[in-house]
Amino acid sequence: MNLERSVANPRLIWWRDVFQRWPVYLAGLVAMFVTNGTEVLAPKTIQWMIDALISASNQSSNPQSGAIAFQNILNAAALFVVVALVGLAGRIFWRFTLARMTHVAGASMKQNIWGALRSSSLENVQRFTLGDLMNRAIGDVNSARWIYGFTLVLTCDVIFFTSLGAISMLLIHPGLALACLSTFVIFPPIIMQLAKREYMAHESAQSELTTLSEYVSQAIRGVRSQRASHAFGSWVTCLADSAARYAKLRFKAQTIAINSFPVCSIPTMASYVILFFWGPQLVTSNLITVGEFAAMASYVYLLQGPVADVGELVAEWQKGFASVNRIAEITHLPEQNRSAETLADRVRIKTIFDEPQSMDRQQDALMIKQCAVDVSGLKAVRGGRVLFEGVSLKLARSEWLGISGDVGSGKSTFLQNLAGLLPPNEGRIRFNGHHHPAEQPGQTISDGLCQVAYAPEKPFVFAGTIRHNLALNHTYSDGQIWRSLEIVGLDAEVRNIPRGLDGVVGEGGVSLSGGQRQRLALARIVLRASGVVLLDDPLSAVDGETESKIISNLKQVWSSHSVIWASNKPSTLTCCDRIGRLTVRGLEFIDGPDAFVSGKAQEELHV
Amino acid sequence: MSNSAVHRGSTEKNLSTGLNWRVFLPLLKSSYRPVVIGLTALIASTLFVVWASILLGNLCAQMGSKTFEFRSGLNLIVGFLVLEVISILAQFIGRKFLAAGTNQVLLDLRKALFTKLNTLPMSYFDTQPLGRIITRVTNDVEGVEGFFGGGLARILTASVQIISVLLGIFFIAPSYGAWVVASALPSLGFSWFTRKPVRYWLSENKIRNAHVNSTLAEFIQGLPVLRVLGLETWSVEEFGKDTRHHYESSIKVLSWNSFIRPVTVFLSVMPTVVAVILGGIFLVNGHVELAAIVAVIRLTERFSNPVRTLTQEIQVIQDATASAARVAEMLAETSEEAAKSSVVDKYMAAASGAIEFKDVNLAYKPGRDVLSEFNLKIPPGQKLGIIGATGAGKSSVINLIPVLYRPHKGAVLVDGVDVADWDLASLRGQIGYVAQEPFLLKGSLGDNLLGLGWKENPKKTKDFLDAVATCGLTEVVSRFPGGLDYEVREGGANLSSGEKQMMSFMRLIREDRPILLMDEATSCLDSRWETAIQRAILVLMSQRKRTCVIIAHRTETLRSCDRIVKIRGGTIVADGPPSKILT
Repeated sequence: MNLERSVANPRLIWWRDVFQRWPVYLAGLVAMFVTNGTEVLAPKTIQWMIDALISASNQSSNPQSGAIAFQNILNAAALFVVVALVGLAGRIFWRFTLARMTHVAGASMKQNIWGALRSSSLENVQRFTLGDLMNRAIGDVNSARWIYGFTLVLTCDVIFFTSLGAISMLLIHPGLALACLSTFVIFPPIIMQLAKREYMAHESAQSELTTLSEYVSQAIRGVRSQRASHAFGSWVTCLADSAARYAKLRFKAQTIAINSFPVCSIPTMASYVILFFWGPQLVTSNLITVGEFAAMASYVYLLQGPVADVGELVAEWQKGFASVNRIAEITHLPEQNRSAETLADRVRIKTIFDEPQSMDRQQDALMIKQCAVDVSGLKAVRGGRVLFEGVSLKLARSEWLGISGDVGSGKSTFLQNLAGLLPPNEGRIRFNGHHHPAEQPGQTISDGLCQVAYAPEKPFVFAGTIRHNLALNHTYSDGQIWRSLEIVGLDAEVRNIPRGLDGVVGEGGVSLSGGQRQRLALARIVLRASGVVLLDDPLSAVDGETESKIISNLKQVWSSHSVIWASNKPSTLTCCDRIGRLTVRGLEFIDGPDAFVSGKAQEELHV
Repeated sequence: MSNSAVHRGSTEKNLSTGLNWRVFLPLLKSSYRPVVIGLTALIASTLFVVWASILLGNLCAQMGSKTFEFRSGLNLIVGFLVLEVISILAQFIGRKFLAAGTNQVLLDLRKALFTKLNTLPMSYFDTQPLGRIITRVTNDVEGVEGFFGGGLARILTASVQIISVLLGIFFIAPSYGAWVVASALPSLGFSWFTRKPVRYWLSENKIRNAHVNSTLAEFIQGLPVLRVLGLETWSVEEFGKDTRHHYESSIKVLSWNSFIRPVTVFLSVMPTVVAVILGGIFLVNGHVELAAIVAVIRLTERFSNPVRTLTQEIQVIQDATASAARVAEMLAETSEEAAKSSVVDKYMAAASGAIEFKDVNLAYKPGRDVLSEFNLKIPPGQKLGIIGATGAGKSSVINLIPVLYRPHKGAVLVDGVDVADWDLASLRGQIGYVAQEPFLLKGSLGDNLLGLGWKENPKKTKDFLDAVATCGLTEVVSRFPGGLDYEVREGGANLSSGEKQMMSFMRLIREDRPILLMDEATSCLDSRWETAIQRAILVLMSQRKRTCVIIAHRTETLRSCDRIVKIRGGTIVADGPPSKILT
């Protein structure tokens, strides 16, 4: 059960969080105490009412004492109403304090999860599957938040109600009370044992459910190609098998819970036997009143609930702490080197939309002298396999470099190294003479305007409008946005979408083709690109005609940018000043684009 | 920028759709027996409790009289204890049967949904966000599960308890009990009339929660983009906005309940007060006996708990019915077979691979034809290349062959038979399809290439590896440490795009399919591997008569084709050998 490694003691994490808001929790505890007090007083007041009724019944022949007895009934009833009103206030108050904390905790845990994910290295994030991460963010947050609020309420309920109830019973008749309560004392260990078994059974059912959900998500995502080649049927079998396993495990957990129900009733029944055989005798010998006997019966009945809840509560706490631990595994992920001070702040940034006069001439001149990108001895290892090593490269400002290489030779890894997404296994990267942010603590290329723009090989489209996809954190004028779309040759297609820039794309909106998605993602880069542009085959799914148009546009707008373009398409690479081929041994430069196209590679193509 | 929900635009509307219960009836048919037995036992259990309360009232009244002797009350005491025990046993049995029954129903529901997934038309997957479909099959089913597994039983038990308590009160002493029953009505009315705002906010809360989760999933997937564009701080702000939005609705629910639930509790104890005060008056007047009054008071004490439960469940039931309605909606969705079934006996045969498009018109949206009057004849054994600009309709041509979509005019014929008349399984079983965006499962390479459970079939594995060697692609597998055992991460995250495309292609080798469709299947490959794959296709085509349709925009890919067609605006503008078309 506790196989997962513990990041920090989840109980300590919980306590620290709760302690930070101690006034709220304290107020909530007081409210719970008052509420439970009224719940314990209720049977007492009913006792007085019954006693008053009985005395009224016995004295109904005498009008005067009958009136007094009736007055007693009214008094008892009035007291009952007052107790109920206090209870009303207490219930409202604990909801606004303790119960509210459930939601406060839930919201802050979710924010913390994203806060941690966005600042930890991609490698660390990718250790988790998306399904696993989402499961923690949804399932675990859901069960962890309870122990910050509602579970606490229930726990108070059990503690306060049982202790106050026991005191009240002892005040009626200590002997009878102890006899009745003794049965409850024996049972908690058994109930806890049952709860533990139920919890474990529930956990294994839950983990099968997670597997099932993951299968479902994979099956649905791959539906098109699976369908086209009639391979979805095996998925259906696989899903049905998993669902059947889950149903079996769930039923097992339910059976344990149901079986423990009669067990939990045993103490109540035993108490009833004691109470009903001893109680009436105490009444006949006038040691307790009928009302007091009835109150005792009420307490025994009312105590059954909290005592049976003990097991569930313990399970809820365990579940909650386990979830706190799983969430902590994410929120405690090591942060990537980062700070507010960015490379962008230190180096002059110029995007194509900047006004020319905003350029600092002196600094600009300085930068031209320096290499825009200086890489030496870069090495990458993936899954025990050396992708490349000894990669060195000096890229001048406004130079365009094409990178080709075999499938799996590490072109993407290389660009990710440069983009600062993946720290290199060995080697050094400098931009404009500055250390690469990933090497030096206290610097990051992220946040603020980016010095290095990067278009990943798989374009990412957010569910939302075109404008949202392009602008994201910025506000660009319509003119700027249309211009960027024009550059990537997407303007005509966007004009065709209903509502144009405000048309919704991605999930829930217009579905874009692979090439359209790539161009949209590229337009995002065009809007932002400053000094160095890293392109990971962003036009792989775009047809040749459109591609050559886009390249000539980019050549214009990025005339003073340094561009590294990874691709295997000769048609793409012809735009580059230099072409390198990435191999295990390093980067081998080919003289020029023509040499590449007319070289050996070209011959191979004619099978 | 101000309102993120508007920007993303993908939120589900907060509407309470009517629930189509009929969809669930076939599921209940197979396992209604345990459900009925379970419910009956639960109802019996509450009746025994009411009966026990009446006995207890009588006992208290007898004890109150001065002539009480323990022996005379013994019947009542033993009766009370026996009834309590029976009620517990009845509840135990009821819950067990109900659990068994609902589990079976839910398993059947899940299976029905999985089968449905297999038969829903592709257009369903295009028009619905994938995340939403996944939610239907996971979260919504779990919502229904929660309802059947607990909520339903609680509602029924609480209702039975309330009704039997009220009936009990009334029949013990009608003239007196009627007033007590009347005093119970405000609490019931209150919980009934206040259910709406809570329901609204509960479902609003659910929608906002789903929105938070989908934003998070999107951000996680787009993390590299967010990071490189310097959007990390922005993303935290956006996500913060979403979580706050969700938090606000949670607090709305809480606030309503902070008012509704305590007031319900307060109102639900009022019958006790009325019973006592009226009891005093009736007693003094001599209209009602003490035993009856005490019994009524004891019963009123049993009233409060079920009312509380009912108030709670009445709010949640909406949630469950909304989930159920969404699941039902999906189950009721027209499946692709049913979408156009004119012929009863579907055509099944081994295809020779002749494909013909006859005056095909296709539009995903009315009025915007992707293909118009499209005509193309592909003889068996031909390697055909399709070129054209983005959006020209290339993929649509390929998607029509395995009937992922249906033309709204004209017909697509395979072996001279309209694909609409083909048995879908038979047709698709003969098509090898490699998509633009390759899809890899989390699991081993073998799971991906040979299907789950490949380890138990060493012969199949060996045959596959032999076939791979024949195609000259052994290195595709051997380049990975562990070969077929190499673990692929979710979505193939630890493979490059080119490697994913090769894996996708390798699946074609596994099965002997006469029609091969490749949609930009090699766009991420370098020229060496591109050449290798084109060679492998020729090997596959030489082994037996196979028709191959390739979409590509790289002329290099298409040089070895027998014939190239160029598409523009949904029609063919050029048709001929590669030497003529590819310039």
